[in-house]
Amino acid sequence: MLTVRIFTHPACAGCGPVVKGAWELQEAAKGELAFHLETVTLAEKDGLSEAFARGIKTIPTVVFLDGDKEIDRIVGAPEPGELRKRLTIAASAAEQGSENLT
Amino acid sequence: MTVVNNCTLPDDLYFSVEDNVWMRDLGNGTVELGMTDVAQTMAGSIIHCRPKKAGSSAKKGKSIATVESGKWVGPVKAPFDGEIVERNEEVEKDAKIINRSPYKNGWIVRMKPADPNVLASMKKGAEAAEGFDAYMKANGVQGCIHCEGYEE
Repeated sequence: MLTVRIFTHPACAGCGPVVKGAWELQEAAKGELAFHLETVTLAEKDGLSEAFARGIKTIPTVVFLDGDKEIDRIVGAPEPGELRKRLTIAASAAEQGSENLT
Repeated sequence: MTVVNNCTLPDDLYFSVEDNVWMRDLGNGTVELGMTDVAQTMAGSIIHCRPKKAGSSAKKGKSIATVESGKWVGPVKAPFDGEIVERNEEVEKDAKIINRSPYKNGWIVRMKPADPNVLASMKKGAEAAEGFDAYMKANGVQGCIHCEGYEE
């Protein structure tokens, strides 16, 4: 299943609305768009280390993952329509990846 | 623009690596000062900034402002002796300006240096980058990550 990791920081004014938008999208699309949603705060050392390991330079950044494999990423705050569109494509890619494994 | 570990160092500015402070020559005998991108990254979300008043004297290594963030309270240190001629009241009202725009709207004080040639002894560009790279390694700072809208 697709995992969506949103990299944030408490000082980032644009991060909160992206997290909220993603949660709302997850609630609204239950049953038709399945994904795990996780937030990674750069205020914590582990979060910061992961951000550097992934080459993230700007927050918010939304990373779409199929297991450990990165499918897509959005740098900066996307419009809700753009987030949904990219999520749908990434979820479909993750699903196809899972099917190919079986 | 010089970039070291994703931290920005504008080429027109002078830097004191040990004080983690930048300086801009305003060309009228005064110098604008503020926290570097490295400093604001290390501080984290800045909650308060109280610059010293205009007319105050400042000694090298002594405080020109007190900064409080979510994880740190401490001074911004003067990189040279001089007099504070102006302080940025905007950063007192909204200290997060320093996170968003450390080199422009986030300036902290303007000073008149006791030695008018003091900037000649400060670092710029690649020399500053080398100093900050070593400083960051010594302090366990991996690099800078900026919020969208960060002003270089």
